[in-house]
Order: sequence, then structure tokens, then C-alpha cells
Amino acid sequence: MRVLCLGLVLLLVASTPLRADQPMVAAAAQAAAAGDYAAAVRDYEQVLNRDGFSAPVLFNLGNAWLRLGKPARAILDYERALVLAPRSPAIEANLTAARQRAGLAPEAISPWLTAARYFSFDSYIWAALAAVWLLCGALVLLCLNGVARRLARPLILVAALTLCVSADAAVLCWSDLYRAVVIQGPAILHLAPAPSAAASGGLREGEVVWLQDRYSGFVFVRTADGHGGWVSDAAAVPVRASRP
Amino acid sequence: MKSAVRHWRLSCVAALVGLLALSAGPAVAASHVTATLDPPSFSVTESAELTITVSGDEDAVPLIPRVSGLIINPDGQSSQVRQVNGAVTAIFARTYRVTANHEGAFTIPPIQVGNLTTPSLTVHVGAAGTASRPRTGGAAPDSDRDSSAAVAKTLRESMPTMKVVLPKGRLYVGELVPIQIKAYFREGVGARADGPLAAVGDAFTVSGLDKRATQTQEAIGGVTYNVLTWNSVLGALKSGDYPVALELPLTLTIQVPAADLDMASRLRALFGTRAPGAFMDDSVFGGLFGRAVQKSVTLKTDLTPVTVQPLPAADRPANFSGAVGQFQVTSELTPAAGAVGDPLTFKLTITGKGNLSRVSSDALQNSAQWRVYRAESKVTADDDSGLQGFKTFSQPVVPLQAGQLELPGLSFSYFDPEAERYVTRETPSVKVRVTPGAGATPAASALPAGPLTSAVQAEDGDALAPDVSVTGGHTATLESPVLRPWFIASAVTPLVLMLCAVTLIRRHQLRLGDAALVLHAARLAAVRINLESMAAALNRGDPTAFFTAARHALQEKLADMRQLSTAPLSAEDDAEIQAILAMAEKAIYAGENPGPEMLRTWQRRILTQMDRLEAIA
Repeated sequence: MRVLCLGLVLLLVASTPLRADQPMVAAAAQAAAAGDYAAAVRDYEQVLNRDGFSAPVLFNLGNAWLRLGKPARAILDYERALVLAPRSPAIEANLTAARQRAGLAPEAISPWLTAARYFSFDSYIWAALAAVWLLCGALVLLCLNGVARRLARPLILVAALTLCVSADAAVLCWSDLYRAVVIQGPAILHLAPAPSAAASGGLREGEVVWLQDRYSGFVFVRTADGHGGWVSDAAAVPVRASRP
Repeated sequence: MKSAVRHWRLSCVAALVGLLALSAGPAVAASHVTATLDPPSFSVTESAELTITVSGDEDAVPLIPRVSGLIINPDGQSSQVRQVNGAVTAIFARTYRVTANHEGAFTIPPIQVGNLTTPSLTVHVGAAGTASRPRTGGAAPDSDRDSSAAVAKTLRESMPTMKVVLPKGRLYVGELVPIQIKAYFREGVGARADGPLAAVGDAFTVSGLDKRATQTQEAIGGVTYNVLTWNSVLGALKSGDYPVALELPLTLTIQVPAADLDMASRLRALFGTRAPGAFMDDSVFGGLFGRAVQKSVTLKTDLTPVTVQPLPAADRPANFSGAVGQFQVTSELTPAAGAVGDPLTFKLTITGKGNLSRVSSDALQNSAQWRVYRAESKVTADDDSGLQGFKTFSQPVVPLQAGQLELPGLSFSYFDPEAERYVTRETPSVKVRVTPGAGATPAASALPAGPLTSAVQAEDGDALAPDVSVTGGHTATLESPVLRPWFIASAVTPLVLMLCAVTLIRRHQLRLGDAALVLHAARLAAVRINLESMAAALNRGDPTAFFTAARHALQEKLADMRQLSTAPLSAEDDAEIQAILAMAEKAIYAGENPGPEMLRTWQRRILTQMDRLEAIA
């Protein structure tokens, strides 16, 4: 009983929104309102480092970077905010503005991918996982007789449809897992993962690339137009980072 | 002896394999680059082909230098991999089309390809009409001279024409009309565009010229033409009488009849004539029967006169911004209600046919009730030509007071060229129910609820959606769980559980469907019931019921044992069973009552015998 009570208390503590960051968020917002964007950036980054990723904090941080004249960093933060809040018109509008300021052309996205990005990638995989559980349960029910068997057929239909749609969408969005933003540009694309290797091209600051390999301080990236090469891993930062 | 021969053969095979391995050598050959110009001299009306070939492991894009007087445009590329004696060589060839602005001698400086450079090339460009030196393996110059008359005649007959199809000859300034541009090519004439279709002059704009043309065939005067058609939109820029003129630079490939060409020139034509990527390219097969001649021309349309009228000054509305066409206007506010401080979006949509880019409208203004931000506009075309579509003006507005507020209607004016008059359309005013706010500032809204469909002007004047109030939780990582081991395990677990459950259920069902198993279970149940009856009869002191139950239990047990095992009974078991059955006969049919103590003894003997039968089974 004591263990159960302790577990409930821990669960409540874990689920309660942390409010410790509010003073720092307020300070960051005041700094941004006063035009001190460097201070706003510093405060928002501290909030992220302490409490983790948050779409509003990332959005405000992107705004501060953009007003500081760092569109590449703003693009990175907007991209990260879109992972947490897909389809947010405010984020998309500011991301477009940041790309314009970075001198980048609008990203060409196929209609299928646009439709697939209606929900986040994680939503799709959770839906697919739930569908797998439901499908397996329904298949077990199908082996039984009576009401369970009759119930199994619609459940299988629903689960199979959910699984198909979510799996297809997840496959379409799969490349988004490896998106990265060039924050130090112009960066040189090397033919091999070494600073002395011959250059095969260049990357513009704020350009979105896709990470494909990693070796000794270098990452192999591929650009939207299909060019590939090795670049310093400090230059291309993944959107889906493990920590702030 | 046989063993020795086999050993010798194996030694030979091993030696051969070793020699082959040694001869394979290094896998990749050294890189080198070559540049060739074909032909090395040509006239200003002709072009030459510059080919840069890189072999080895270098795949950098050549850096083509600028040469004054020469135009060098990319024309194509190819790659191949060769393996000779195990040495792998990759060959990349890029071709460029070289034309000259004027005659003279030009030098193309060394071309850098990665770490390699080509030698410089010298180009001699003669005056128009000067015969060029032969292409490598190309058509023979002797044949050119011999058949110059035939070539000139064929060129004249094969020259394509181009025309513009206009729906009407009178336009208003700013009016857009759909047009068709048609280029007619005789059959057998190959053509490659050397540049985009372009309008000449500044009286008109022609949009959509960069789009792909559709190709059809038309028969005119008994001659079949291949027709390229561009659908485009013509816009009048200034008033007056102006011709509509367009031009298209082309390189034509024309087949000259082979009547006066010798076989050698035909063969050279066969292997030398090249027109990569050309429309209706038949140079290879054409070379079998004649000679292909390439010619650079600029195709021009006939001068189609158009009268452009100025827009009438009379009755011109004050808010007229130059929109010409036919339009409709609608407005909406989203969301339709809100609280003080909540940003709402007023959207004005102008739909119709005409110069949407010139469409503009009055904008909402700041008032005591409303704080208004800069409007953003977006044009969306319904068709490829851009003639029809809609333009949306999105203007963020923030209510400053609670209560029933009203956004005033807006007006929009345009000139209708069909009706030849100005038209003004107005939107109705919008009533909004505004509730008292929770003290939120206009610049702070939550991200998910923010209806900011367009950029909002922030306090410092930039066109960014403003900062939002920080609500909601945080997440420690943005990495997707899809690649985590626990996620994969949670996806595999239901499959394993399902397989186990299905296996168990099917096994149970199989057992239910097995007649032997069912009989076995029934007999065991009968044995159990009879033993219970036997015990109850013992307690009652009813020897008849006791032995009836005992006999049935023993019979069921024996039958079950015979089903499960074919092992014979021992003589001792057989005798004991016979004794029990004989006693049962006496008790049931002869009314013998052995007494309570003997019944208990018989019960022990019966149970012992049952256990022995169970052991045998």
C-alpha cells in the first residue's frame, strides 16, 4: 500500500507542469520586448537546457535569433518547433521569413509529403503501434467463438486501415528524421571526411540537408538537389536533437 | 598415375589464377582530361561542339572561362565505366555549344576540371556564309561545295515559321488576354531551342513563355508540319498601336537530299551528324540517305498589329489601382468571435480573371475599437497561364474593447474591358462579439490557438509573427522513439503474444475436436462420478449401490486403459478384477451383504486396483 501511495505521488509530481522556468521565461520575454535579443536568446537557451524542448520557447528563441540577424539559427529553432507543433501557421510564416532572409529558395515539397506532414511523425508511429496491438488482439478474438468473433472483424478492419495510413505517412516522413540545418555557412562539402580533402561543393547558411553518415567529426550530408559530401559536424546541426 | 596427372592439372590452374590476379593490377587508372572543339573553325551563323572528357576518378564540374565574343552553353553530359584487364576507368563527358558574336580568332583558355586543366583551344570564326572546316567524321566539305545550291534550296524550303494567335485586336492598358504562339516545322527538320521564347519591345508583356510547348501535326497546303504551341497570356503595358513580336533562337538540323553526294560523304554524315536532345532528331537515320546541315536561326513571329487604348479618365474611382478584368470580392473574419487582446484575421478575397497582380484594396485602419496590423497579400492562380485566380489579403486585427464591435466594409474598384466601364464592389461590415479578455497582451498568444495565417507586423516593424506566451510542457528530446529498442520491443511484443494466444486457442480447439480425447475425458469423468457414488453408498450402508458404482467405475477405467494402452494385464491384476466383479455380481443380483467393515475393505481393494490400472495406462 505504501509503495502504491508513493508511486501515485511520484506520478502526480511528474505530471505537474514545471513552473520553475517561468521567471526566466518572463525575463526572456521582457528582454525581447525591450529589444535586447541577445539576452533573450541567452535566457531562452537556459530554459531549454534546463527543462527540455518546448515549441513556444523554440519559437520565441527563433524570433530572437532572427531579429539578431542570425537566420540560420532561427531556421533551426523554427524547424524544431515544427516537430513539436506541426502545422502551426505562425511558425511556418516565420520560418518562411527566415528562409527569405537567409536568401534561400522556398523548399519544394511534394503534395504527398505535405499531406503526410499534417500530423507529426511521432503521432504516426504511435498510431501504428496502437494499431498493431489492436490488430493482434482482434486476431486473437477471431480465433474465439460467439460475440468475440463478430467483434473481431470490424476491429481488424479499423486496425488494418489505421496501420496502413500511419505506416505510409511515417514512411513518407521518414527522411524528416535526418533533417539538419547548416548553421555555419558557407560550409565546404568535402569528398572525404578530412579537412584536407578536396571540396565538392558548398552549403549555404540556413540550408536544410539530410544527415546520412558520421565519421570522426564529420557528417555526410545530402542536399535537396542531390549533392552529397562530408562537412564538419559543427556546421550541420540535426533538427531532431537528442538534447537542447 | 592418375593422381599425378590430377595434381599437375591443379598446379596449372593455380598458376593461371595467380597470373590473372597479378595482371589485374591497380583497380583505378590515373585521371586525365581532354578538350576538343568540333569543328575547330566555323562561321558566325554556325556553332561548334566543345567536348570535355575526364577519365579516372575525377568528377568535378568544369569551370568554363568567359571568352569575349564567344557564347559557351552546356549542351549535355554522359558517363561510362570501362574495365580493361581489371582496371576500372570512369569517363565523364560534358558537351557545350559554342557560338560567336562576331568573326575572328578566339582562344579558349585552359579549362579547370577539379585538379586538372585542359590545354587552351584556338577557335577561328569566319564571316556568315563561310564554309566551316569539316566536323570530325562529319559531313564532307567537298560535298558542301558540290551541293551548295541544293543545300540553299533545302534550307529555304525548310525554314520554319511562327505566328501569334490573338483573340482580339483592341486591348486596354493593363488588360490580359490569352494568346497562342505557334511554330511550324516541316517534317524532317530537327530543331533545338538555343534560348527561351521572348517578347520583343516594351509595349507588351508575355508570361508563361518558359513553359513546355505542346507538339501537334497540321497539314497546310498538302504539306505536313510539326507544330509547337505555347499557350500564354499577353498583357498590354502602354497605349498606342504596336505590333506583337516574339522571337525564338533555334538550331535547325535539315536533311539535304543525297542525290549528288558520294558514299564516303554519306558515311561521314552517318557517323558525324549529331544533334543531341533535338526535337525530331533523325540525324542518324537521315545520314543514311543524305547529309544533315545545322543552322542557327532566330525565328520571329509575323508582326501582328494591336491597338492598345488608355483607360478612360472619366468616372475613374478614387481607389482604382489599375485592376483590369472581371472580379468578385468576399470577406470573412476568423475566428468569428474572440476576447479582448485576441488576434483575429480579417481576410479579403478577390476572385476573377485579369491582372491579379495589380489588384489592391482598401485596408482596415486603426481605431478606438481595433488595433490593425499590416495586411499581407497572396495571389493564387487557378490555371497555368495565371489569367484566372484569386488574391487574398490577410490582415491581423486585435479587438481593444469588449462588446458588439463592427469591422467596416471595404471597397474595391476595377475596370471591366468587356463592359468598358469602371466597377466598384464593396464588402459588408462584419459584426463581432468580443468578450472581456484575461489580460493578455495583443502580442502574446498561445501557439496552438493562434489564428495567425499570415505574418504580423511586430512592435519593431519586422514582418514576423510575434512571440507567444510560453505554456505547455517540455520534452527532453526531439529524437523519435521509433529507433529506440523499447519501442521496437513494444511493437514485437503483441505479435509474440498473439502467436502464443492463437497457438493455445488452436490447441484447445483441436483437443475439443479429437473424439478419442473427448471419450477419454468422458470416461475419466464417469470414473470420478462412480467413485463418488461408491463412497456415498458406503456411508449409507447400501452394498448394492456400492458395488453397482464400483463395477461401473472399474469398467470405465478398464475401457479407458484399453484405449490408451495395449499392454496386457498381469495375472494378479486380472484375478483381482475378476474377484471384484464376482463380488459385485453377488451383491447386485444375489443380495449378498458383506457388512460395513468388508465394504471398506472392498473400497480399498477397488481403489488400489484403480491406481494399478492408472499406472498401466
